[in-house]
Amino acid sequence: MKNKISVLVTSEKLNIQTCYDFVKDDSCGGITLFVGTVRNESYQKKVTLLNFSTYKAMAVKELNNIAVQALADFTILKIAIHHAEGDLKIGDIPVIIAVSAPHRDAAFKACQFAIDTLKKSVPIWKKEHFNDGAIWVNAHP
Amino acid sequence: MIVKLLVFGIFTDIFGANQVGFELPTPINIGQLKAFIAKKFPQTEALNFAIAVDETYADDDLIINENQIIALIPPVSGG
Repeated sequence: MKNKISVLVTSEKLNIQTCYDFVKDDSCGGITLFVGTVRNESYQKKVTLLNFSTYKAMAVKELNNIAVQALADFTILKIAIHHAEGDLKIGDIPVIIAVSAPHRDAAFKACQFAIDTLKKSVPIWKKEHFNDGAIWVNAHP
Repeated sequence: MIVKLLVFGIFTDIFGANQVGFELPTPINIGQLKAFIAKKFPQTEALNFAIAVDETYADDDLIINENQIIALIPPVSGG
């Protein structure tokens, strides 16, 4: 199982090629790649900066749980889930998910499952900074 | 017992710290700890926060021990 999963939470710049190369395999007919990017606007306001803080030890565990679940539920070969922490600028990459599978359908579904579950359960928090202040995303019911 | 809590996200603003400690009666379970926090810090009540014990989400009926790592998890927003 372990050589089928690559999970990372890092303050270094994320690398799309690293994720792609990890999942690539001759037995696979397709690779899906989800790349999250920092948007320049939120709540009709110009975003100046995003900060991601994490409960790193638990975030790594939860990301690994998602990968294990994806491998159990979909006919895929490998999965990489990398997430950034710290300050990110517009256009920077907070998250990359790469999935390889013999057939594309499973790769698409597993990738969607992984990003949707990540957003619900992994202890990572986004703070959006504007010219006139900052807000914690999702923290205002 | 004294329960130490790791604090993240918007809770760091509410508590003004990354870690807090409270003297609590024993035994205490997760549901009771949540109720204690919500009462002491009313701003947290509407946030529907979770609690993790030893880096795993905990159910309300789990009893807390002194040597465990307990963390308050406000709504997450990764990705």
